[in-house]
Amino acid sequence: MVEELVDRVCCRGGSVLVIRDCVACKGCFLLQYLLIKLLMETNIRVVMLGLVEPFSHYARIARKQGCSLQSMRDNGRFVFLEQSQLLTLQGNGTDDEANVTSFSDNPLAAVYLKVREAARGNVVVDPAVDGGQKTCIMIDDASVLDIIAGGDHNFVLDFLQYCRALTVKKQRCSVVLLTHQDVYEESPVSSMNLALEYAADTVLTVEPLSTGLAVDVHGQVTILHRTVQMEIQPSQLKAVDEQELYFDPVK
Amino acid sequence: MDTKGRSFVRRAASSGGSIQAIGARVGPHGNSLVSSGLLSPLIGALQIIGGGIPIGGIVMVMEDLEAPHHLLLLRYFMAQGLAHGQPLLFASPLLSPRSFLGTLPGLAHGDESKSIRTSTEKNQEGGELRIAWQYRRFLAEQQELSDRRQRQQELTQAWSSSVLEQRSTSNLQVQDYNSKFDLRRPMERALFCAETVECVCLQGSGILSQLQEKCATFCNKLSRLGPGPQQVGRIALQSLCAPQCMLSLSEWEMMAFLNQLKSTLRKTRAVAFISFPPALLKPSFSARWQHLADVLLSVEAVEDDDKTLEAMLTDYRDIVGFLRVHKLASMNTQVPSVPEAGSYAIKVLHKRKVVLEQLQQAPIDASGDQSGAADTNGNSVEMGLHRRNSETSQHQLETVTIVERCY
Repeated sequence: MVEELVDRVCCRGGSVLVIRDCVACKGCFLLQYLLIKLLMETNIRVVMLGLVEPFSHYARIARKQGCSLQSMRDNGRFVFLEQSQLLTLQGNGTDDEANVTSFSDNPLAAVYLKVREAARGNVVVDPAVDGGQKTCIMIDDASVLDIIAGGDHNFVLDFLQYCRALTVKKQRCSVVLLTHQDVYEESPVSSMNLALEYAADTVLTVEPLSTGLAVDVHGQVTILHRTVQMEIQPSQLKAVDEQELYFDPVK
Repeated sequence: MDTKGRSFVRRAASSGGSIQAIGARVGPHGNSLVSSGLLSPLIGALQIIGGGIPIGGIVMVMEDLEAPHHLLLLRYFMAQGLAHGQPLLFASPLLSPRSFLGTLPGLAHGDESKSIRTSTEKNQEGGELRIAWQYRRFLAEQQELSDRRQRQQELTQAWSSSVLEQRSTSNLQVQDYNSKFDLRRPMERALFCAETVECVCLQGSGILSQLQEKCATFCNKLSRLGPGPQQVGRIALQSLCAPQCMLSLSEWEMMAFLNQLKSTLRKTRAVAFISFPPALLKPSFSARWQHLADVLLSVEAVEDDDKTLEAMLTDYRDIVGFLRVHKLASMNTQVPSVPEAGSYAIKVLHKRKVVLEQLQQAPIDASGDQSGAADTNGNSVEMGLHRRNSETSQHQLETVTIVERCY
C-alpha cells in the first residue's frame, strides 16, 4: 500500500500528500521512507524544508538504509533548507522580489522565494525524459509554518498553494508535507484540518494502537486516496532503522 | 599511523555527532547524553527516561496545578549540572530566581562515604573488643589463609588486569555521570554563585526578548563547531506559560520563542528543561508544546486518602506523586523509543533523597472498575485486551465515516 505512493502521488506534478500524526505516534518515518524511495528509485529532485530536525538527523537515518544524502546533496538531487536559513532570510525583509509578489504581507513569502530558488537551481534537463526532471517539495513539518506565519492559517494555505503551483522546466512540483492532527483539534473546530484534507490527493493518518506503543508494533497507518476509489484498510507498522518498513495489514 | 594509505577516512564530526564532555556519556545513535539527576534503586539510574537527556534536546514536564513535584525534577536537573560544573541558565517567574538556587539539594556522596568509613572503623574496633582472647590465634590463621588465596588469585588473574582496569574506569564514569544528592543539605554556595550561573526573572514587560537574548548568548558560547573546552550547558525554564509571564505576550510569540530555542539547541552543546502548566494553555497550544519536546513527562499528585490506590500499591504511604513518561527522544533515528515503564512513583526516602520506582500493580479483574487501572502502568492482560477490542471497533467506525464524506 505505502509502496505504491511513490508512483501514485509523488511522481505526479501538482499532487499533494499529507501525513498527519499525533504526540503519541510520530509520522516522520513515513516522510523519511518516501524521501529514500524518491531518491533511490526515481530521478526526481527533492527540495526539503527541514523545519524541525537538522540535516545530520536525516542523513544518519538514510545512511542506515544505504542512501548517502550528502552525495545526493553534492550532485544537486537533494536540496535541504534548514530553518535557520529560512528565518534569517525572512528576518531581513529587504528582498525586492518579495515586495513585488502579490502576497508580500505574508511572512512566508520570503520562505517561498527561497524554495523557488532552490527548486529551480541546478536543474538537469534530461533529453530522455520529456519535459525534464520532476521536483518534489517536502515539508517537515507544516505546523511550524503556522508559527512563522504568526498563527494565520490562510498564509500557510497560500504558501502551500504557491508551492503546488510552482513549475520547474514546465513541470509542476508535487508536495509532501507532515503535519499534526491534534494541533488543529479545538473547539470551535479549526478549518485547517479540513482545508488540508481538501487540498490533498492522499492523506496518511498515523495513530498509535489503542493499547499504546509496543516494541513490535509501533502504530497504525490509514491511507485515504481522495482521487481514486479504493478500499481503506488500516495497516499496522513497525519502524526499523536499518531496513525498510514493514507494513502488516490488520487481520 | 599513516592515514594516506587508508581507503576509509573518518570525516570531521558533524553537528549530530557524539560529544565528549564532562558529565556526558555516549548514548545510542551517535547521541551524547547528560544525566537528569534522577535516581531509581531498582532499575538503575541509567534506565530512566532513556538513559539520560540527549544533548541538543528539550525535556518538557507538564505540571500538576495541585502539586509542586515538577520543582523536585527541576532542582535535581539543575543540581546535577552544578555538580558537574556545567554552565546554567535559569529563568523563573519568581521575583528573585537566584534565591531558588539556595533550595537545590547538596551532594551526598562525600558524607555518605565518610559515614560508611567511620561505621566500618567503629565495627572493627567493636569487633576487636568483642573477640575473646583465646580465639585470636584462629583469626591469625584465617588471615594467613586468606592472604595466600589472594596471592594465588592475583597470579592467575594477572592476564585480565587490563579488563579489570577498564571495568573500574567505566564504573567510575557511571558514578560520575549520576551524582547522589541529599535534600537536607543545601547546595554549596560557591557552586551556584559561580560566573557560569545566570538567572532571569520572567516578570515584567519585554521579558521574552530579554530571555531570547540570554539564551542566544548562552548557546553561542557552547557552539558544537566552536573551539574551547567541551562543556555542556543546561537551560532550566520554570513555568514558562504561567500567567505572570504571559501578561504582555501572545501564545504565538511564545511558540516562536520555543521553536527558535529548539533549532538553536540542535547546534549547541546544551540541553533545556522546561516545565509548563498545560491546564493554562488552550488544548491546541498544549499539543504544539508537546510536539516540540524531545522528552515529554508529566507529574501528578497523590490524593491523601485514596483507598483504591492504597489497596493496589505497596508503599502507598511513601509515595508523594507519580511521574509519567509520554515520549522519549528519538534523535538520529526513526524508531520510536518505547519506555520500559510508563509510570513511576516518586518517593522521598528519609526526607533525604528522591527516588523513582516503577509502579508494580496487581492484576485487576476486567469485570471490575476500570477507572483505577486505566491510568496506571502494568494493567492486567485481560484489561488490555478488553480495551483494545472496544477501541478497534471505534476506529473502524471512524474510517467508515471518512469514506462516506469523501466520495
